[in-house]
Amino acid sequence: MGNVNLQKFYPDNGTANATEVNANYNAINGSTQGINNENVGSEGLIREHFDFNPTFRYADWQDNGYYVAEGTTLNLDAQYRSLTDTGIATANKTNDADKKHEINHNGATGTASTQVGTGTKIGVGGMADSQNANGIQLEVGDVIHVFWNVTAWRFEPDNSTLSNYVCELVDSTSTRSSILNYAMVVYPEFNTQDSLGSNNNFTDAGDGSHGFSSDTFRNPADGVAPLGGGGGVSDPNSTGLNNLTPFADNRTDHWTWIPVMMGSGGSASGGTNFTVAVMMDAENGASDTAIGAAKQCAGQTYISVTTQKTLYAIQLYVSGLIGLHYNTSTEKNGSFIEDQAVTNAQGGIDGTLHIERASIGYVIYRKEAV
Amino acid sequence: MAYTVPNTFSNGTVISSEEITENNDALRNYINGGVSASDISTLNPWVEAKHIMKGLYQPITNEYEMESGLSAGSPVFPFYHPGYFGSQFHKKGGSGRADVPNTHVDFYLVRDATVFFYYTISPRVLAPLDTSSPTNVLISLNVDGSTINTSQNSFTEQIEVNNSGGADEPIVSRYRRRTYSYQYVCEMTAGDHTIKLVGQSGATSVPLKFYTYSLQAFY
Repeated sequence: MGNVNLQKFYPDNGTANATEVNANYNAINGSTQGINNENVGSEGLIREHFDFNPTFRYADWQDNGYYVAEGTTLNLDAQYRSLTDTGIATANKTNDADKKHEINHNGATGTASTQVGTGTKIGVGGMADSQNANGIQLEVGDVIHVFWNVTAWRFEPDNSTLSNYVCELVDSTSTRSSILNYAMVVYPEFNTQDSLGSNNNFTDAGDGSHGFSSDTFRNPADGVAPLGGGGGVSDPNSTGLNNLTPFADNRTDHWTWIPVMMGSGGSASGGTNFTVAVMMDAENGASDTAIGAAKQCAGQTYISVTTQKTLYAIQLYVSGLIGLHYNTSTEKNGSFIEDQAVTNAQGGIDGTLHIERASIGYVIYRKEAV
Repeated sequence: MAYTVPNTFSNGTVISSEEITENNDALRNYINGGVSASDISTLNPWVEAKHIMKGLYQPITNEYEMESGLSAGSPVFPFYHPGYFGSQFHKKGGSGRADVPNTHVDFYLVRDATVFFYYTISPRVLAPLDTSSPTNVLISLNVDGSTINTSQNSFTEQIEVNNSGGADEPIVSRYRRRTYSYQYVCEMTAGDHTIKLVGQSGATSVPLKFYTYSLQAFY
């Protein structure tokens, strides 16, 4: 029935006429016989009147802007080495810095950049200016969702003779260890120290002094070991530098595992009839030594905040070449970063992962009280 | 039941204050909880979005609060096989990219919002006639006509790799049936929007399987 107009009695109408009083009540009666949009308020109670964006504190996404055509050789800054360095195939790599790399190539040329907002270094809370991230003060109970994608463009073995990469799993007569288990790992680290996002201040979310989570996170670079150990026995526990990284003891759900090679064996007793290929090569295309072109790999993780910190930036890292191992003493599966070159007598594995486009995003969820 | 007037007055008589009070009390009682479903007009659909109290979904605890209007329990996202894509839709090497059929998501935002979109799909590129030169299929996310370059993924025709000759042991990529997923966050203005997949293909026919997506908008 809609709006109701009532007769006024004061000050213009000094007498309360019975007919007018009756009309008023009848009008009200008529209105209530069919309540419609004219009888209700324009809006109900809206929570954002109390607090804006109550379900998440902040969300953002960025990509590195590096896109090339198939057949292109990526910029050297977009080629990430294993711990055994490209070009030094006969020597063991001793520079631990190559246990991991910031994925920081950026822009149309794929040139490395350390600035927040470039590459995969995303500022949290938006940018205060061209150099500094605003940062967000995390509160206990916040949940951080980080997600990312990287396009593995090419895996380039240091040694062009792929048979050198044949491992004990596909050829029992070889001194090489498993190649089927080899990969590089992409994972995020966090900066709670400076708005400039210095690379020196990135650690995992559970870091004792910088982190904001009570969970313990395992980073791929935590374990470094020579694979072979002589005789093709993969036992980093007995030969390694920092030994095995057991999966069971810490969180590894933030790892994106990027397999780089695969192979098949010959006869049951070994032999030479094997096949080995790299997983991806968008520079040269698929062939009998390359399974296919570029492979995009996705990852994501959720982290609960248990320590109040200001989070300034998140960045992706890629590890050196990683192998898997099962320790018969501890009965745990784990991983380690190989530090031996493929030509080493003990049998290692080496190479370079070329990464093209990459993106990273995050959402910080916060449950607000009304 | 509509408000019923208890007392009607006659001209030329004194209006009883007691009866006036009785009328007003009846009206008060009607307003304060006396409105029934039969009082709501059903002549025309008249409830608009502005009349709906805004509900709030808490994704962490999976609960709805301050609810009015439609609601749902645990979200069940679509999960289906979109069909086929291939060079019959678009020949790779040409300009632009073609829509990947049955992957569109059309939606309307009442107001400006932060939108989260996530999808997975598994293209199964078949074996080529000539295994020496397998072709690729490229698929990307497209938001309101703009392709998100970073989302592009490549799928090579399934081939057997064989580099040792003789009594060899060919292998097929472990990636041949991989699932492709991507997440995206962006700010969108109020109004109509379309999210879809686009691609190029050198293969004639590419089966697409297990497509699913989730879409969230936060005002």
